[in-house]
Amino acid sequence: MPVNPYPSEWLRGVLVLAVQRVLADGPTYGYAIAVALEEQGFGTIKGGTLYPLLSRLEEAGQVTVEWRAGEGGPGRKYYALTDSGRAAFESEAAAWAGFAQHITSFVQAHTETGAVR
Amino acid sequence: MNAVSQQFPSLDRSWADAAMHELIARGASSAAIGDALATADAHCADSGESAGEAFGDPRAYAASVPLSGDRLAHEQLGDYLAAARPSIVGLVGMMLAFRVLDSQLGGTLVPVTWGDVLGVVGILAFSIAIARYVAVIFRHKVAGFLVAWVCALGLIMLPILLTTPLFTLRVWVAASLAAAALLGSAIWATAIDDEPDPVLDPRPGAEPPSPPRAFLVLTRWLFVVATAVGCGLIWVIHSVAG
Repeated sequence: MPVNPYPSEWLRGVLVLAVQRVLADGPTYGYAIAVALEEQGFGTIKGGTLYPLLSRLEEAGQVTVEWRAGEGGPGRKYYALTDSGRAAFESEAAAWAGFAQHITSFVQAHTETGAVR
Repeated sequence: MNAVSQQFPSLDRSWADAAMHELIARGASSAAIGDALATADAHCADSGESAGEAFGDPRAYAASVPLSGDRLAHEQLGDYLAAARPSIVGLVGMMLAFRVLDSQLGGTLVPVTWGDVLGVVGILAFSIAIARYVAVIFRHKVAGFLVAWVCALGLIMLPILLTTPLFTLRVWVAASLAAAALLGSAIWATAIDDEPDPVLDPRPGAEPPSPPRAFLVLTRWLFVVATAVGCGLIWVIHSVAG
């Protein structure tokens, strides 16, 4: 099982973006999203956290849902990004890149100078 | 195993029931309840976790399900009245049958009292109120069921306490009306056959659980059975008293 190397409060802040990122690869179901996030170091994402988040994205029109028949098991609820969901993801991904770069510069400035001025 | 356990086998029964009750209390439609439970069931089937492990408190999970638009139940008064029609006819038939037997044993005409009429109207209003405010009853279980039982008891007492005759009927007229109403209600209920599903499973190929046939027959012939039992009790009471 992959180990979560990052503080959970960092991960909570980017969980929506991470879920959107998984869905950007194509429609998939809840448990597959949880597994993909775990593989990326997010630790175990409980259903009680994941599905309310997906429901909020659905309410916001960023995700559509479709029940598909399962293979030998119960059907699965597939989530897919809508056009507006994909636009929101790209916008937030760009904002996140800028934020991460800014924070990295800020933190490295301290590391290099030994103090924040 | 209850119906919800059959539909969602990967969910613990108590967890599923608690989540369902909270969703009902929030006014969720049967489709929204089914979707929320199916979502949890599918996740647990995939992950191998119990519902408690994966989703925690069932009420918190139910509270996190967004409910708006068609996810909310929107039954109107007319829907309740339409669904209650066979039961109203059966209830009238049952009360009339009791009066017929009581009169035959007492050797009088059949009186229809204010208590009878108010009892039928009250039971109808009570049934509609229960269906309309089921969410409130589930939200405040103890107080809700207590109020419901007190109301039901009061309605049962109406025909006993309000004995002033409104009008009288000849025995054969009253007996014919009672028999027609009782048979009519059973046949009507069988013909309608539109028992609503409390939980609609959205998954492809999911079959709604069908209750045992004997149970279905009993619900449709409920007033006929209740009348037979009630008449037996009245006869016993008269025999003991007389």
